[in-house]
Amino acid sequence: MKKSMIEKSSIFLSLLLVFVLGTLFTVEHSGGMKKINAAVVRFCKECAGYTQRIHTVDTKEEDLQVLPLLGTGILEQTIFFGEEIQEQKQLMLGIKMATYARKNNGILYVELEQGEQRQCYQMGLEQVQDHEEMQLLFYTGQFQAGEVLVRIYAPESTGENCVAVYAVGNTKVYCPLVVNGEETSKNAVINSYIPSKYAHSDFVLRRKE
Amino acid sequence: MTSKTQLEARLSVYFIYTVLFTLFLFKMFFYANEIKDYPDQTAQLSYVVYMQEHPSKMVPEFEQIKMVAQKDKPDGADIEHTELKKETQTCYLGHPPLYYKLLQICNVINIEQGKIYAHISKIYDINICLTAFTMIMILNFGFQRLLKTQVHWSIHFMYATICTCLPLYGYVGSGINNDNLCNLGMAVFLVGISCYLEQGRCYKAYWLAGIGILLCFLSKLTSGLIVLVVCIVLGLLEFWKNKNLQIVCNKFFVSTLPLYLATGSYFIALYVRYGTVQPKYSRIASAEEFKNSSFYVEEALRTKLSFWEDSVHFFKGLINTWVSTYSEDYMVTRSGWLAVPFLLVLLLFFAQGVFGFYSIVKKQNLTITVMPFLFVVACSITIAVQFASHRSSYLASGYLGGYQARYYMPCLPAVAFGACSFVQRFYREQRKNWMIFFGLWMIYADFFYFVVSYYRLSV
Repeated sequence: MKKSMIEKSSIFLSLLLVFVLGTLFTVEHSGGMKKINAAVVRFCKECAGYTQRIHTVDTKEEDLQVLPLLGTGILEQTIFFGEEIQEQKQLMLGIKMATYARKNNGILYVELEQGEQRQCYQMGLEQVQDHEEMQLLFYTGQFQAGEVLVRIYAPESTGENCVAVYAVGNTKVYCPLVVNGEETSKNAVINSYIPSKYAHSDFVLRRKE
Repeated sequence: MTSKTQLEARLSVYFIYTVLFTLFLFKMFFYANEIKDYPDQTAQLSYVVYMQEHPSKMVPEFEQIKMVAQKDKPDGADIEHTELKKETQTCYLGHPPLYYKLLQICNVINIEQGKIYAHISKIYDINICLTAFTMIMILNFGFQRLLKTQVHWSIHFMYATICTCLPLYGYVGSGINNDNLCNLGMAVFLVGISCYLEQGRCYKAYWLAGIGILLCFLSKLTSGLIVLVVCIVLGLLEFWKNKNLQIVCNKFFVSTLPLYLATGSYFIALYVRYGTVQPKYSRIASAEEFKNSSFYVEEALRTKLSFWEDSVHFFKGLINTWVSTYSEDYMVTRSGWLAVPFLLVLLLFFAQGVFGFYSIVKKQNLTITVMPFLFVVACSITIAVQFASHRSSYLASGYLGGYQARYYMPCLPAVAFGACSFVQRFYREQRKNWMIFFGLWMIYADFFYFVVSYYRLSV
């Protein structure tokens, strides 16, 4: 290709890129870039979120029922930890709950237990939303693959001030929901999530170097 | 090729460069608006504050540079007018002052009634402009050279992705860091050297190389060392080929002497004051301050590493930081398949360096094919010097840092050009899909992987 032609093309490209630079600076200073960035952040958070649903307990939308958490009453549901939970070292449990369309007060306890290992999550009953999934994040590094007991209770609850956990018909006889020490024919509606497969755990805190 | 297909090919090349440059700019704006947390940001700001307080000082008194702390985090409205508070701790940077002088001239720091204010968004804008112009120069450099050899557009695509998608280049480029001026200096130097190899001795080649050398030396010593080694190796090759000193004994070189004198006089003044051309923290801070810093580890707490273990630690760190985006607080690494394109680029660059050496041995004329060889030698020697410095710091104070790939980042255009020249040797039309896949994979592994991984923290 002729030298003069290359030089002309090169000047044209430079001008084009300078024009792009000017345009993006204009977009930045008019506030447009912030909106684009916000959309990118939303998208990334969506991708990076706990969006990968995994199977830890059998639930099917049949024989739907709500079981109230009253006083000393305890709900116990065994769930199954697979290797992917161990790998990720974190798990988000989504427990479907109801509030009887009112604001309740007191503390709700959700515990994970496996042998000696135990992790407890506390939250106010007022934070529970009616007919919604309550999402709780657990760091599960200390648990082994296998069965883990989820224990849910709210000791300050009364008949007029309590929340309830959704339960469905147990599709398998294996490990049903236990209410106050008695086995039922149901399973609690508990969904489990691990972080999106698009975001791997290469995120590490860096030493000061 | 018909003129219509030629035009189509040219348009597709313009399209590639424009799209990738737009993506590169977008990334920089994104980093500046959403991520921030740049490496050494506070120390860099401290240096600018010092330059603002002492505008007439050409050689800083490093022991007088005190760290500053940001009273308000540079978010939202504060980014326009962030108040800085001076601390007693001495700043650990011992870099030459040209970059900080430039920011001082741009008036990014205001001192009103004893209070110090930083215009953070203006600093980001200046750096984005600096990096964008560097990138325009880099893209143009490859565009011209590849257009001459009439390569397929997929090789242009590969070149543009390598230049725009190196993880740390855009990130550091949008923040406050003297590396940004090094990048510009190296790009100018590269164009000068290429001009010399293509057109021989001329004012353009000597002046561009001279300006590049000045910018590199007066911004950071590591890049100064790289350009110095390139010049020495090129000089030796010319001497070996022509058996004369015409490379320096000519009117073009003589006309650029003021540039070298300006560079040399700074380092002479520095040497007279500190007895070294790069003052270390142990020299500029008090003994107590140094012992309390992260650059010193108590003997009992030091990690015991043999020479071999330390070498492995150094080179692992070097490779790891080449494929990572990091700051003081976090590090997003790319492992497995995600790291492959970034490492492959290095491999291709080194392979092209070997070809360059082969063409010299065959006693061919010194052409642009020699350029990757010059940079391979320069980078290797600089890495060896850096390792020696790392080792001595480790033995003296237990400090295990000083291995970051960021120091060699200004060589990116030489790396990209070398890698593409190597691919061009073995290019067949059927292999274009590989080039496209390579480019797309690199785009994903750089920005999209980073942001998704970054936001895992805040989910």
